[in-house]
Amino acid sequence: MKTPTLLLILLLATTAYAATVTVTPATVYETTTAWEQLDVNNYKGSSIITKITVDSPSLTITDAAEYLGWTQTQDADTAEWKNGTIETNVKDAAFEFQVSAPNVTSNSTVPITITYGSGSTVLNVTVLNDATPPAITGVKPNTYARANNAAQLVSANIIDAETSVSGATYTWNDCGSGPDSTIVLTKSLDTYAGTANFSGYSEGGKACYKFTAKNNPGETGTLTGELLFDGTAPNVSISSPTTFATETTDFKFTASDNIATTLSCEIKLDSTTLDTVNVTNGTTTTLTKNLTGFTEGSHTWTATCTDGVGLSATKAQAIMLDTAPPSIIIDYTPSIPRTQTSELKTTVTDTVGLASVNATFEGAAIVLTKSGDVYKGTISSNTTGTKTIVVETKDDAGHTTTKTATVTIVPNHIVTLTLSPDSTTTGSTITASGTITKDGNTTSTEVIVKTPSGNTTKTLSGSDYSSTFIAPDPGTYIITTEFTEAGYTYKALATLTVRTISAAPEPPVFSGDGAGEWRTSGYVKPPEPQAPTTPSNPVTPTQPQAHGTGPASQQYVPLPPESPRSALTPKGTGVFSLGGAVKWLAILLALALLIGLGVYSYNRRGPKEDGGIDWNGYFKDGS
Amino acid sequence: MVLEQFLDRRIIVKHAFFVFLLSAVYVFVAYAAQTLFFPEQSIATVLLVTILLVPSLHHIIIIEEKIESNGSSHFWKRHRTIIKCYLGAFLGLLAGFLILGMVDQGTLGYQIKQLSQEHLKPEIISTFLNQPYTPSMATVAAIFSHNIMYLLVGFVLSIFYGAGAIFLVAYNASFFAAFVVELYSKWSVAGQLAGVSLLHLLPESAGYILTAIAGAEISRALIHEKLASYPFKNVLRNCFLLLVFAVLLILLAAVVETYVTAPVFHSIIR
Repeated sequence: MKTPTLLLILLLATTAYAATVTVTPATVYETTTAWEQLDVNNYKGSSIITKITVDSPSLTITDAAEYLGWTQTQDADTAEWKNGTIETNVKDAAFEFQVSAPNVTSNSTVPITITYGSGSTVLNVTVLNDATPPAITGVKPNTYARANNAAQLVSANIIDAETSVSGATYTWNDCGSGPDSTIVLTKSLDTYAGTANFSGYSEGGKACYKFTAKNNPGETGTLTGELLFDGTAPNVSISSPTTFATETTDFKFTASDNIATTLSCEIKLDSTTLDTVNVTNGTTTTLTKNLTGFTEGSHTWTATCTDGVGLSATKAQAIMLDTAPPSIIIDYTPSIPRTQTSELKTTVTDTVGLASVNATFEGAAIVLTKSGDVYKGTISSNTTGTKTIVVETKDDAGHTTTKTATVTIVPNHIVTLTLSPDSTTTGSTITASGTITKDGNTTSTEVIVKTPSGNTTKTLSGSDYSSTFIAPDPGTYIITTEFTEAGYTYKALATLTVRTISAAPEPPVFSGDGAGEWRTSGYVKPPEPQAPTTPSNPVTPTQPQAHGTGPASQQYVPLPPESPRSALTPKGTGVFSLGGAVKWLAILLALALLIGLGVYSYNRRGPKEDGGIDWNGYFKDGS
Repeated sequence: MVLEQFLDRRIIVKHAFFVFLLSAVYVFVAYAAQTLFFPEQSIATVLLVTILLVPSLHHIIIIEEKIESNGSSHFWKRHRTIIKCYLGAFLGLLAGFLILGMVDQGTLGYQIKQLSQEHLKPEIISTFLNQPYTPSMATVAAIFSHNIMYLLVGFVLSIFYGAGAIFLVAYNASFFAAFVVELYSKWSVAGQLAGVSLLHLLPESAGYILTAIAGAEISRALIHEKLASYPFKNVLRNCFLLLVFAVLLILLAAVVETYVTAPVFHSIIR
């Protein structure tokens, strides 16, 4: 066999059993460091690899990863892993090392040599040139800035994905011949920020600014713009609600500003934010909010709007939150005599105002008069039975409440009570009498007369009753007669005045001559001379003395004035006491009188003849 | 009696207004007499004013009886003078008592006491105002019968009293005055109430006046005419007509009081 053929066979044999080595990503941006991964495939290799060496004379190795089972050494040009093994059944063994790329003007390839066991391979790593400057976005402030602000925060998002940002500045001037002012921005993540002094820029002023950012290779990016200065806060006005709110309420407000076209507005109920919206300058905004989570009662809602430069205005409005319907309390008499009028008193309360309060009795409207929270009306019915009162109310928030009550209309039996006398002195006998005017049929035949002496049950005599009692101590008493029918008690009241005898309006004053005298209250006897040793024997006040008669007494009291007895008076003054029983006897008598008078006076029969008797000297004749 | 002596007696007969003034003045004269002789007895004023009026009215009654004894035709023409005089006397008395009562309620103390015990009792007013008022013919009948009773009593008494029956007219006038005074003491709308009251008070009073005239005429005829004679029958015929008119006026007053006065009172005061 010839030598070249033998070498070729040997080379092919070696190649067939040699390990393969690759490096990824095999690129690195200029001025940056990047980890490169070396993948060794020793599958069915010719020998076990125990050492891997990376030689990079042109690309500085800055780090190398450590692995268990391997001893790692590294310097600027070399990275080596040894004392480990990569058997021939290992398809991929990874070894990582970090390289630092120099600044280049164009993409360039750098060779690195990989030595493993008995073999070695040269691989290329490309150093990439970064031709793009950093990207500047999210500039603040933009377009507008607050006037005369000595500490205006300026910021921007600056990114250079390839080679990173090395630094950024913010420069501004008056857009004219004024000097530039520059500040260095501080990095926080991708945001570069600083504080600019705009104290020299007043309302309406203008400034030109420039963000400048540089990446590590030295590429420079800029972003310029203009700022208009604004020193006037926006204006906020509230349309509604101004008095009350309910479960679902429309919050309506208007925001305006002298410069900003859009304002950021936030509405709150007390300290709770209900919504935040961007609104167009000068427009009215309506936000519908659900307030069911808030408590009934007083609250304050606010609208705060902020313009582009951070100036804000807040408008607050106190309101009542009403989520509950009105409360109704009906005060009524459960049983009312037929044709009688009874007062209906309804107390209606609500957190906010009431839009309407209506009441009906058996479907007919009741006229109500308002006094505070109380609504009064009257009810009456001509027919007996169970009737229904319905009270409906609606508050200003639209909540409605309906309450019903049942009234029983009972027969209108009328009880009268007369005291005779109704003003007297202690110990006198009082007669309480009256009648029951029945409205339909009754089953009860008794009345109870309630007097200071006790209650007396009296059986009706027809429709009348009468009871007597003794006048109690001086004072004013209410005497009551009760007639109970079908569970309803009909009452009549009368006032009894029991006078004290000794309480005379005029004390007796005597002239000293022993003569008595008349006073308006009666005759007063003169004082009798008293024996000094004889104790006085006062007359009991309940025994008034007849004036001028009886045994001499030690003490005299004036006679109490008596009320005049009821006189016959024309009925024309009795407008308030119309009715009563018809005096048929009077009518019959009048009829008889008229008939008699008419018949007699219109009788054409002439006067009786006297037979020609000469009445002159009739008695003188002696015949 | 004294005052008219200074004037021609025909003035009294022909001018009811003079009777009106005379009656009003007599009230004050009577009040002065009552104050002097019967202090605190206000009813005495009514009796004293009656005494003052009787001579004047007696004169008219005599003339009237003579006129009536001639026949009963032309009723109004025959009775116009006496009715106008009595009506003038009633209105004069009413005015006089009203002035007295307005100045001092004590001058009508008796009448006010009576009213406060019965017609103007607080319980009655309260009941009236607190209940719906429904006029009915039963009410008319009750008022009518009560007033008829009052009319009968007045008629019988006027037969005995003759011209003295004017005390019934004076008594009425004093009560109506007391009623008005009490209205003013109780309600601010008393003026309206008093005005409305006149709607039934005037026909009712006119009825009593006719009754008093009728009784007085019979009284005079019983003395002056032969019983069962034509003149006597003529007087009776006139009295019959007077009484018929009186009853009709009383009925009219009862209807007005039930259907007009009371509902208006009820609505105004409530």
